[in-house]
Amino acid sequence: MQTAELRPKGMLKQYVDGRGCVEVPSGIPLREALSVCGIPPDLVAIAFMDQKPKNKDEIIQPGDRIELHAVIGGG
Amino acid sequence: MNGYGGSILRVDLSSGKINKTPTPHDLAKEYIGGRGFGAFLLFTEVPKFADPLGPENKLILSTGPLSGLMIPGAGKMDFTTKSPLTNGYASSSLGGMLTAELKYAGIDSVIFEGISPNPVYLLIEDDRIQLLDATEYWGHGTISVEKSIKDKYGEDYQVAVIGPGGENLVPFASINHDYGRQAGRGGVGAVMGSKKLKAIVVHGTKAIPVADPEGYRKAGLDLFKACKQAEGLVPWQQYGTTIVTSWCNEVGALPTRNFTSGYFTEGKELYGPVMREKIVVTDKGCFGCPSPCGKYSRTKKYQSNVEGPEYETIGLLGSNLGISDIEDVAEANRLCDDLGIDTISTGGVIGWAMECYQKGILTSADTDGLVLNFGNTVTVFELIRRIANKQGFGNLLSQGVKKASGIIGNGSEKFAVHVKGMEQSAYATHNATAMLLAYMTCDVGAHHNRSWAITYDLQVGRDLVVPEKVARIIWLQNFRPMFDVLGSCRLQWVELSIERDLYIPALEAITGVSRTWEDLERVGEKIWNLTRLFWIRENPEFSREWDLPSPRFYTDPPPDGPTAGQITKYEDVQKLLDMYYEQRGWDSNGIPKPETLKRMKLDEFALST
Amino acid sequence: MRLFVENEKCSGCRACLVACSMNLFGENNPKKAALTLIPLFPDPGKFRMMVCTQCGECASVCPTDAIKQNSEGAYFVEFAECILCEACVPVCPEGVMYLDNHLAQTAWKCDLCGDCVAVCGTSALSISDQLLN
Repeated sequence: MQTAELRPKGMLKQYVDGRGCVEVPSGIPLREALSVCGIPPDLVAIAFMDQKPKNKDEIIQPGDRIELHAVIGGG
Repeated sequence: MNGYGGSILRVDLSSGKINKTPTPHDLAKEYIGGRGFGAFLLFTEVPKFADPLGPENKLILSTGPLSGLMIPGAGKMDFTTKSPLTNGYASSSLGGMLTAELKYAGIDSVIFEGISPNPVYLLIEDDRIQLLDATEYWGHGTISVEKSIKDKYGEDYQVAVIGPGGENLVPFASINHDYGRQAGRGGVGAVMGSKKLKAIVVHGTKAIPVADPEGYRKAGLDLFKACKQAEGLVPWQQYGTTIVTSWCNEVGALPTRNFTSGYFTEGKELYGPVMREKIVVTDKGCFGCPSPCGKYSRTKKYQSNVEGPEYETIGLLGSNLGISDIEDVAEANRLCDDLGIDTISTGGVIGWAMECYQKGILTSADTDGLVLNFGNTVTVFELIRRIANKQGFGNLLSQGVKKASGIIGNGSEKFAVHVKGMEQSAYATHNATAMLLAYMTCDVGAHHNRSWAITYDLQVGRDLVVPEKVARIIWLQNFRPMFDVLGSCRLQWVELSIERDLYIPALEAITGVSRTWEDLERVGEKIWNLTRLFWIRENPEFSREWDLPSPRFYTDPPPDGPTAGQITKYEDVQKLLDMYYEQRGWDSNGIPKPETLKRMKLDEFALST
Repeated sequence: MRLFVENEKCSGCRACLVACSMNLFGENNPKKAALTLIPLFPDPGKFRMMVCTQCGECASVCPTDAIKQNSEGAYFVEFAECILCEACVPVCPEGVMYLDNHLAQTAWKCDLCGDCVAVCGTSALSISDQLLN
């Protein structure tokens, strides 16, 4: 199975036992991968890869390394 | 006094007299600076029932002990006054370079009193302070005036300037600075205009003293290091506040068509990455900021420049008006900035007018023949001009959505989206009870920045109405505005999540006074109660009704988007308020109880209310 | 070794100026910094910074040899030996030799302390032998 890496930042880590790095299957939308590892998609304000944002409906490619950021403090 | 500029400048515009006195140690000890100074001076110096646009009101500018120092985000200052928009407390925060320059000129606060017989500007060059004729600038937009003044005196002179909006006393007129930063809300620009004060120009060449230079240097560098190592630094630098546009749309928080919905189907064209690619030229920072969120932009469509648009402006002048082209929003932003009116209130009142038009409550006969359909960019540009100049239909809108809907009636008050007369900023709160409470109880009206809580609502349950949510809002209200007191930006804590404890050794090394965050939050709680007393004093009919949100948020579930069909129950609105008052130590009308005021040593102020 | 600036990354925040004046004079006073920010606003809306390239021209004209090299090879002004003659100011190709009687009784320049780099959040400033892209 081909995989990719999600990298939750800040408070999002609490949804994956404090880990900063989670392996997920590729070939599915990011939104689905978030649900698979227990990170509520609604809390992910921005997904970032290679300094570019990634839409939650985009299909994850093998080897992708995607940073996940929540907006805690807001405006 | 270590960390401070050292003096309070008093400018009586009626007589032209300028007076400088040392900043009282007691004032610095009790109220620290910035918004704290503003609140105290407002309450003690502006007489009860003063006309906000009359000679008795004062415009109080205050820096903080962190301003101008080697601290991340040390570029914020506070403008406090009695608001012509709400008749209550107005406190507006300005970024950029002005606060630092005032500190280098040896100044902590400037208090403008009276009314000048002719248009003037204040020129501060260290100890040389003059009121000079501003006739040549009067009537002109803020961008060209700032440029003219910098060309005349020097690029490193810092300028704050009002536009025609302030000159014409539009109650949500703004004050502009550094080609794109504003003291935006509450009508601070109108108060400046009522005093015939066109601009404030500052050049300072003195040093700011600190108590422990070695300790300060180390603590400052530690703060910068934390910012540079922050996990969220790169996305924040790239997108700034526009980082949330897509997310707000996805969670039903993006105000759409006068807050009828929290979801804008055409919203994709407004998202941060699209904006960056299309128009952003420079990531522009305020003084001392390692995480520059300003997005200085140039539109191809209009061949013009603007700092922005920020998320708030994208919400209120974009999706709220059914506009989906980011270049159109940028141009609307530029017009508001140059004419000197708050983008949020402007978008709020235009959105209301568009809904009136849609419902037939207003027709072309009322609107100077302008067609106010949602999405009509040309109309929006024209309305902005007419609002700033109080011309034609703009005259009605320029009064703000509370007064305008009161005049038009016909049920339009029910969809005037404001609290206490201030138009709500860019979070749709159909089903987000902590954020709804934040808007209801914010100290200046419906503004988001005291106690932003959207993620918190999503984490614990949107519609939950529980004491924990109320406690969180209260804690945020006591804590976050302390950055406005210290004179530095909260966004390094808010957006980069740096440890707030890093500020403590810096503050001590700078001022020589040891304070914990608990100490600071106590000051925050005190200021919160003092400004509440100000509302009560100035508005004898003040009651819990003033803390209610727009009926939109308890009667009109959105027709689409993630919050389709969801709405807060009216009973829950009241329940939130009851819990809030209880936790704040206020009575059922939201009046601070005597024992609460005594605990905070505010009982002497209660006597005058 | 010298200071480099990538102008397109500069946000105009001036943190570098405060850090510099703290290093040179122990004061929070950006007017006494040894690098210069040039904002180009409202159009085109960008920032430029002028920084010392450690070329040594200033040292070569100083009549009292007040401009010396430190252990890193960076040129700096020995304040006590500066006679305020201003010979160094016009020869600086970058315009980053500073002298202002009202602010200090000495000329001043960058001594490559590195504090500006430490506070530059966008990494516009860096110190190296040559700029790597």
